[in-house]
Amino acid sequence: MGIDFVVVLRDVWKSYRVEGGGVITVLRNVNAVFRRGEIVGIHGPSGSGKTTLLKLIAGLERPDRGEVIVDGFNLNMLDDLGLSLIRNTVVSYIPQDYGLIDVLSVKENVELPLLLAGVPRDERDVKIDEILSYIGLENKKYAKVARLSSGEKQRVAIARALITTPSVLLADEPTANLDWENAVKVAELFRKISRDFKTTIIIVTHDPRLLDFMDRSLSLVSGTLKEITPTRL
Amino acid sequence: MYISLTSIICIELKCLIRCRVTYLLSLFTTLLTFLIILSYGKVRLTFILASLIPITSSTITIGYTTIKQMFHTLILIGAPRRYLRISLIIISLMYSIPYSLPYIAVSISSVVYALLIVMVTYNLTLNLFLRGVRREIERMI
Repeated sequence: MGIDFVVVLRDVWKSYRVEGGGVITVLRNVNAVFRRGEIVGIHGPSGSGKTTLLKLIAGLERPDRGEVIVDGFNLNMLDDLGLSLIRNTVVSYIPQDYGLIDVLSVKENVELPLLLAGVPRDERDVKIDEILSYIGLENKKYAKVARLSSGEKQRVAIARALITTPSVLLADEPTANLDWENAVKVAELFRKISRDFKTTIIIVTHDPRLLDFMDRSLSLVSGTLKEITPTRL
Repeated sequence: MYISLTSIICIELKCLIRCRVTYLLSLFTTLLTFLIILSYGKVRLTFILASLIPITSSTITIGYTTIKQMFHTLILIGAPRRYLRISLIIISLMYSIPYSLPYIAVSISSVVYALLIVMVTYNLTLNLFLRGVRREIERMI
Protein backbone atom coordinates (compact mmCIF):
# COMPACT_ATOMS: atom_id res chain seq x y z
CA MET A 1 0.00 0.00 0.00
CA GLY A 2 1.38 3.45 -0.95
CA ILE A 3 1.96 6.30 1.47
CA ASP A 4 -1.04 8.63 1.70
CA PHE A 5 0.19 12.20 1.14
CA VAL A 6 -2.41 14.81 2.08
CA VAL A 7 -0.41 17.97 1.42
CA VAL A 8 2.21 18.26 -1.29
CA LEU A 9 4.25 21.42 -1.85
CA ARG A 10 6.26 21.41 -5.04
CA ASP A 11 8.80 24.15 -5.84
CA VAL A 12 6.73 26.83 -4.09
CA TRP A 13 7.88 30.45 -4.28
CA LYS A 14 6.19 33.48 -2.76
CA SER A 15 7.21 37.15 -2.78
CA TYR A 16 5.65 40.33 -1.46
CA ARG A 17 5.97 43.90 -2.62
CA VAL A 18 7.10 46.25 0.11
CA GLU A 19 6.73 49.99 0.47
CA GLY A 20 9.35 51.78 -1.58
CA GLY A 21 8.96 49.45 -4.54
CA GLY A 22 11.13 46.56 -3.34
CA VAL A 23 10.26 42.86 -3.36
CA ILE A 24 10.85 40.39 -0.51
CA THR A 25 10.98 36.70 -1.34
CA VAL A 26 9.43 34.96 1.65
CA LEU A 27 9.45 31.38 0.36
CA ARG A 28 11.96 29.94 -2.11
CA ASN A 29 11.82 26.53 -3.69
CA VAL A 30 9.82 24.97 -0.86
CA ASN A 31 9.26 21.23 -1.33
CA ALA A 32 7.50 19.14 1.30
CA VAL A 33 4.99 16.35 1.79
CA PHE A 34 2.70 15.76 4.76
CA ARG A 35 1.17 12.33 5.41
CA ARG A 36 -2.37 11.62 6.55
CA GLY A 37 -2.73 11.68 10.33
CA GLU A 38 0.72 13.01 11.15
CA ILE A 39 1.41 16.04 13.29
CA VAL A 40 4.18 18.27 12.03
CA GLY A 41 5.77 21.31 13.61
CA ILE A 42 7.26 24.12 11.56
CA HIS A 43 9.76 26.15 13.50
CA GLY A 44 11.56 29.31 12.52
CA PRO A 45 12.32 32.88 13.49
CA SER A 46 9.83 35.74 13.04
CA GLY A 47 9.43 36.78 9.43
CA SER A 48 10.79 33.50 8.09
CA GLY A 49 7.61 32.80 6.11
CA LYS A 50 5.89 30.31 8.44
CA THR A 51 2.49 32.01 8.37
CA THR A 52 2.73 32.56 4.61
CA LEU A 53 3.29 28.82 4.18
CA LEU A 54 0.13 28.05 6.19
CA LYS A 55 -1.89 30.60 4.19
CA LEU A 56 -0.78 28.97 0.94
CA ILE A 57 -1.89 25.53 2.18
CA ALA A 58 -5.20 27.04 3.39
CA GLY A 59 -5.81 28.63 -0.02
CA LEU A 60 -5.85 32.11 1.49
CA GLU A 61 -2.98 33.11 -0.79
CA ARG A 62 -1.62 31.83 -4.07
CA PRO A 63 2.02 30.96 -4.78
CA ASP A 64 3.96 32.98 -7.37
CA ARG A 65 5.38 29.71 -8.67
CA GLY A 66 4.98 26.04 -7.86
CA GLU A 67 2.14 23.79 -6.82
CA VAL A 68 0.16 23.32 -3.62
CA ILE A 69 -1.85 20.10 -3.62
CA VAL A 70 -4.22 19.47 -0.71
CA ASP A 71 -6.11 16.18 -0.40
CA GLY A 72 -5.79 15.68 -4.15
CA PHE A 73 -6.89 19.21 -5.10
CA ASN A 74 -4.33 21.35 -6.93
CA LEU A 75 -5.12 24.77 -5.45
CA ASN A 76 -3.68 26.56 -8.50
CA MET A 77 -6.53 25.13 -10.56
CA LEU A 78 -9.29 26.46 -8.29
CA ASP A 79 -11.07 29.83 -8.47
CA ASP A 80 -12.21 31.87 -5.44
CA LEU A 81 -15.33 29.74 -4.96
CA GLY A 82 -13.32 26.52 -5.21
CA LEU A 83 -10.80 27.73 -2.64
CA SER A 84 -13.67 28.74 -0.35
CA LEU A 85 -15.10 25.23 -0.53
CA ILE A 86 -11.67 23.83 0.30
CA ARG A 87 -11.48 26.08 3.38
CA ASN A 88 -14.96 25.01 4.43
CA THR A 89 -14.49 21.26 4.04
CA VAL A 90 -10.89 20.11 3.53
CA VAL A 91 -8.61 22.55 5.38
CA SER A 92 -9.21 24.38 8.66
CA TYR A 93 -6.98 27.26 9.64
CA ILE A 94 -6.67 28.54 13.21
CA PRO A 95 -5.03 31.98 13.24
CA GLN A 96 -2.96 33.27 16.13
CA ASP A 97 -5.84 35.45 17.39
CA TYR A 98 -8.20 32.39 17.16
CA GLY A 99 -10.52 34.09 14.61
CA LEU A 100 -13.60 33.92 16.85
CA ILE A 101 -16.53 36.35 17.04
CA ASP A 102 -16.75 37.79 20.56
CA VAL A 103 -20.46 38.67 20.48
CA LEU A 104 -21.48 35.07 19.71
CA SER A 105 -21.58 32.13 22.13
CA VAL A 106 -19.30 29.08 21.99
CA LYS A 107 -22.03 27.04 20.29
CA GLU A 108 -22.71 29.76 17.71
CA ASN A 109 -19.03 30.14 16.87
CA VAL A 110 -18.55 26.40 16.43
CA GLU A 111 -21.73 26.24 14.33
CA LEU A 112 -20.58 28.82 11.74
CA PRO A 113 -18.87 26.50 9.19
CA LEU A 114 -21.93 24.21 9.23
CA LEU A 115 -24.31 27.16 8.77
CA LEU A 116 -22.27 28.30 5.82
CA ALA A 117 -22.46 24.84 4.28
CA GLY A 118 -26.23 24.69 4.76
CA VAL A 119 -26.21 21.68 7.13
CA PRO A 120 -29.72 21.07 8.63
CA ARG A 121 -30.32 22.21 12.22
CA ASP A 122 -30.75 18.74 13.79
CA GLU A 123 -27.52 17.51 12.24
CA ARG A 124 -25.73 20.69 13.37
CA ASP A 125 -26.89 20.27 16.97
CA VAL A 126 -25.70 16.65 17.13
CA LYS A 127 -22.29 17.53 15.69
CA ILE A 128 -21.82 20.53 18.01
CA ASP A 129 -22.65 18.46 21.10
CA GLU A 130 -20.23 15.75 20.00
CA ILE A 131 -17.35 18.10 19.30
CA LEU A 132 -17.82 20.22 22.44
CA SER A 133 -17.90 17.07 24.53
CA TYR A 134 -14.72 15.82 22.79
CA ILE A 135 -12.92 19.11 23.40
CA GLY A 136 -14.23 19.31 27.00
CA LEU A 137 -16.26 22.48 26.61
CA GLU A 138 -19.80 21.10 26.96
CA ASN A 139 -20.34 23.17 30.13
CA LYS A 140 -19.41 26.39 28.27
CA LYS A 141 -21.77 25.82 25.34
CA TYR A 142 -23.79 28.99 25.88
CA ALA A 143 -20.99 31.19 27.26
CA LYS A 144 -20.00 34.29 25.30
CA VAL A 145 -16.57 33.89 23.74
CA ALA A 146 -15.53 37.31 25.05
CA ARG A 147 -15.77 35.95 28.62
CA LEU A 148 -13.53 32.91 28.08
CA SER A 149 -9.87 32.52 29.02
CA SER A 150 -7.19 32.28 26.31
CA GLY A 151 -6.94 28.50 26.77
CA GLU A 152 -10.71 28.11 26.40
CA LYS A 153 -10.76 30.37 23.32
CA GLN A 154 -8.06 28.22 21.77
CA ARG A 155 -10.18 25.11 22.38
CA VAL A 156 -13.26 26.80 20.86
CA ALA A 157 -11.16 27.63 17.79
CA ILE A 158 -10.05 23.99 17.60
CA ALA A 159 -13.68 22.82 17.96
CA ARG A 160 -14.76 25.12 15.13
CA ALA A 161 -11.88 23.87 12.98
CA LEU A 162 -12.83 20.23 13.65
CA ILE A 163 -16.59 20.51 13.20
CA THR A 164 -16.36 19.82 9.46
CA THR A 165 -13.87 16.96 10.04
CA PRO A 166 -11.22 18.40 7.72
CA SER A 167 -8.31 16.40 6.31
CA VAL A 168 -5.84 19.12 7.29
CA LEU A 169 -5.76 21.36 10.35
CA LEU A 170 -3.39 24.34 10.33
CA ALA A 171 -2.55 26.19 13.53
CA ASP A 172 -0.56 29.41 13.60
CA GLU A 173 1.32 29.82 16.90
CA PRO A 174 -1.44 28.01 18.86
CA THR A 175 0.36 28.40 22.18
CA ALA A 176 1.65 31.95 21.77
CA ASN A 177 -0.90 33.43 24.19
CA LEU A 178 -0.83 30.54 26.70
CA ASP A 179 1.29 29.67 29.73
CA TRP A 180 3.33 26.46 29.51
CA GLU A 181 0.78 24.35 31.42
CA ASN A 182 -2.03 25.29 28.99
CA ALA A 183 0.35 25.01 26.04
CA VAL A 184 1.04 21.36 26.97
CA LYS A 185 -2.72 20.68 27.21
CA VAL A 186 -3.27 22.14 23.73
CA ALA A 187 -0.34 20.19 22.29
CA GLU A 188 -1.71 16.96 23.81
CA LEU A 189 -5.15 17.77 22.40
CA PHE A 190 -3.63 18.13 18.92
CA ARG A 191 -1.94 14.72 19.29
CA LYS A 192 -5.28 13.19 20.36
CA ILE A 193 -7.05 14.76 17.36
CA SER A 194 -4.47 13.50 14.86
CA ARG A 195 -4.80 9.99 16.33
CA ASP A 196 -8.62 9.92 16.61
CA PHE A 197 -9.61 11.73 13.39
CA LYS A 198 -6.58 10.84 11.23
CA THR A 199 -6.27 14.58 10.59
CA THR A 200 -2.97 15.94 9.35
CA ILE A 201 -1.99 18.76 11.70
CA ILE A 202 0.59 21.37 10.75
CA ILE A 203 1.60 23.67 13.56
CA VAL A 204 3.70 26.77 13.17
CA THR A 205 5.55 27.73 16.32
CA HIS A 206 8.51 29.71 17.51
CA ASP A 207 8.57 27.69 20.77
CA PRO A 208 11.08 24.80 20.31
CA ARG A 209 9.67 22.98 23.39
CA LEU A 210 6.46 22.31 21.46
CA LEU A 211 8.35 20.31 18.83
CA ASP A 212 8.65 17.39 21.31
CA PHE A 213 4.93 16.76 20.78
CA MET A 214 5.28 16.46 16.99
CA ASP A 215 5.80 13.37 14.82
CA ARG A 216 8.42 15.36 12.97
CA SER A 217 9.66 18.92 12.78
CA LEU A 218 10.68 21.18 9.96
CA SER A 219 12.69 24.35 10.11
CA LEU A 220 11.98 27.35 7.92
CA VAL A 221 14.93 29.66 7.63
CA SER A 222 15.26 32.39 5.00
CA GLY A 223 12.34 30.94 3.08
CA THR A 224 13.80 27.44 2.81
CA LEU A 225 12.26 24.39 4.50
CA LYS A 226 14.47 21.71 6.08
CA GLU A 227 13.71 18.59 8.12
CA ILE A 228 15.20 18.88 11.61
CA THR A 229 13.93 15.68 13.25
CA PRO A 230 13.47 12.24 11.71
CA THR A 231 9.95 10.95 11.37
CA ARG A 232 8.45 8.99 14.28
CA LEU A 233 5.84 7.33 12.08
CA MET B 1 -22.28 20.80 -1.06
CA TYR B 2 -22.49 24.50 -1.81
CA ILE B 3 -22.05 27.78 0.02
CA SER B 4 -25.02 30.10 -0.36
CA LEU B 5 -25.23 33.88 -0.19
CA THR B 6 -28.29 33.53 2.05
CA SER B 7 -26.33 31.65 4.71
CA ILE B 8 -23.64 34.37 4.69
CA ILE B 9 -26.27 37.11 5.13
CA CYS B 10 -27.92 35.13 7.96
CA ILE B 11 -24.58 34.83 9.79
CA GLU B 12 -23.86 38.53 9.29
CA LEU B 13 -27.29 39.55 10.56
CA LYS B 14 -26.89 37.29 13.59
CA CYS B 15 -23.59 38.99 14.45
CA LEU B 16 -24.94 42.49 13.88
CA ILE B 17 -28.05 41.84 15.98
CA ARG B 18 -25.81 40.77 18.87
CA CYS B 19 -23.70 43.89 18.46
CA ARG B 20 -24.40 46.72 20.90
CA VAL B 21 -24.89 49.11 17.99
CA THR B 22 -28.26 47.50 17.32
CA TYR B 23 -29.53 48.47 20.76
CA LEU B 24 -28.27 52.01 20.29
CA LEU B 25 -29.99 52.07 16.95
CA SER B 26 -33.32 51.03 18.49
CA LEU B 27 -32.95 53.66 21.19
CA PHE B 28 -32.09 56.29 18.64
CA THR B 29 -34.99 55.49 16.31
CA THR B 30 -37.47 55.48 19.23
CA LEU B 31 -36.20 58.87 20.40
CA LEU B 32 -36.27 60.22 16.88
CA THR B 33 -39.85 59.07 16.33
CA PHE B 34 -40.89 60.76 19.57
CA LEU B 35 -39.16 64.04 18.63
CA ILE B 36 -40.62 64.07 15.14
CA ILE B 37 -44.13 63.57 16.53
CA LEU B 38 -43.55 66.45 18.96
CA SER B 39 -42.21 68.83 16.32
CA TYR B 40 -44.59 67.71 13.59
CA GLY B 41 -44.37 69.86 10.47
CA LYS B 42 -41.79 72.30 11.83
CA VAL B 43 -38.28 70.99 11.84
CA ARG B 44 -38.47 67.73 9.97
CA LEU B 45 -35.74 68.62 7.48
CA THR B 46 -33.38 69.52 10.31
CA PHE B 47 -34.12 66.20 11.94
CA ILE B 48 -33.53 64.29 8.73
CA LEU B 49 -30.13 65.88 8.26
CA ALA B 50 -29.14 65.85 11.92
CA SER B 51 -30.00 62.19 12.26
CA LEU B 52 -27.37 61.15 9.76
CA ILE B 53 -24.38 62.20 11.84
CA PRO B 54 -24.94 60.18 15.03
CA ILE B 55 -26.25 57.19 13.07
CA THR B 56 -23.17 56.75 10.95
CA SER B 57 -20.64 57.64 13.62
CA SER B 58 -22.15 55.33 16.26
CA THR B 59 -22.39 52.45 13.81
CA ILE B 60 -18.81 52.86 12.75
CA THR B 61 -17.22 53.17 16.16
CA ILE B 62 -19.23 50.52 18.01
CA GLY B 63 -19.71 48.05 15.20
CA TYR B 64 -16.09 48.19 14.06
CA THR B 65 -14.73 45.25 16.09
CA THR B 66 -17.70 43.01 15.38
CA ILE B 67 -17.66 43.74 11.65
CA LYS B 68 -13.91 43.11 11.49
CA GLN B 69 -14.14 39.82 13.40
CA MET B 70 -17.15 38.78 11.35
CA PHE B 71 -15.41 39.21 7.98
CA HIS B 72 -12.17 37.69 9.21
CA THR B 73 -14.02 34.60 10.48
CA LEU B 74 -16.21 34.28 7.39
CA ILE B 75 -13.18 34.24 5.09
CA LEU B 76 -11.43 31.67 7.29
CA ILE B 77 -14.39 29.28 7.35
CA GLY B 78 -14.89 29.45 3.60
CA ALA B 79 -17.08 32.39 2.55
CA PRO B 80 -16.21 33.40 -1.02
CA ARG B 81 -14.94 37.01 -1.24
CA ARG B 82 -17.39 37.77 -4.06
CA TYR B 83 -20.34 36.75 -1.87
CA LEU B 84 -19.00 38.85 0.98
CA ARG B 85 -19.00 41.93 -1.23
CA ILE B 86 -22.62 41.33 -2.36
CA SER B 87 -23.74 40.61 1.20
CA LEU B 88 -22.26 43.93 2.30
CA ILE B 89 -24.50 45.88 -0.07
CA ILE B 90 -27.59 43.97 1.06
CA ILE B 91 -26.71 44.45 4.73
CA SER B 92 -26.22 48.20 4.28
CA LEU B 93 -29.60 48.48 2.56
CA MET B 94 -31.24 46.60 5.40
CA TYR B 95 -29.51 48.84 7.91
CA SER B 96 -30.99 51.91 6.20
CA ILE B 97 -34.60 50.82 6.69
CA PRO B 98 -34.89 51.25 10.49
CA TYR B 99 -33.19 54.65 10.27
CA SER B 100 -35.87 55.85 7.90
CA LEU B 101 -38.92 54.36 9.60
CA PRO B 102 -39.39 57.15 12.21
CA TYR B 103 -40.26 59.53 9.38
CA ILE B 104 -43.58 57.74 8.99
CA ALA B 105 -44.66 60.20 11.70
CA VAL B 106 -44.23 63.01 9.16
CA SER B 107 -45.47 61.43 5.95
CA ILE B 108 -44.96 58.45 3.68
CA SER B 109 -42.95 60.57 1.26
CA SER B 110 -40.64 61.60 4.12
CA VAL B 111 -39.88 57.92 4.72
CA VAL B 112 -38.92 57.52 1.08
CA TYR B 113 -36.73 60.66 1.10
CA ALA B 114 -35.11 59.64 4.37
CA LEU B 115 -34.50 56.13 3.07
CA LEU B 116 -32.77 57.51 0.00
CA ILE B 117 -30.66 60.00 1.97
CA VAL B 118 -29.67 57.46 4.61
CA MET B 119 -28.92 54.79 2.04
CA VAL B 120 -26.63 57.06 0.07
CA THR B 121 -24.87 58.52 3.14
CA TYR B 122 -24.64 55.22 4.92
CA ASN B 123 -23.28 53.40 1.90
CA LEU B 124 -20.71 56.07 1.20
CA THR B 125 -19.53 56.09 4.80
CA LEU B 126 -19.66 52.32 5.05
CA ASN B 127 -17.64 51.96 1.88
CA LEU B 128 -14.96 54.29 3.20
CA PHE B 129 -15.01 52.51 6.54
CA LEU B 130 -14.94 49.06 4.98
CA ARG B 131 -11.98 49.96 2.85
CA GLY B 132 -10.09 50.36 6.12
CA VAL B 133 -11.52 47.14 7.50
CA ARG B 134 -10.68 45.26 4.32
CA ARG B 135 -7.06 46.44 4.46
CA GLU B 136 -6.86 45.31 8.07
CA ILE B 137 -8.44 41.93 7.29
CA GLU B 138 -6.06 41.38 4.39
CA ARG B 139 -3.17 41.98 6.75
CA MET B 140 -4.65 39.53 9.26
CA ILE B 141 -5.27 36.63 6.88
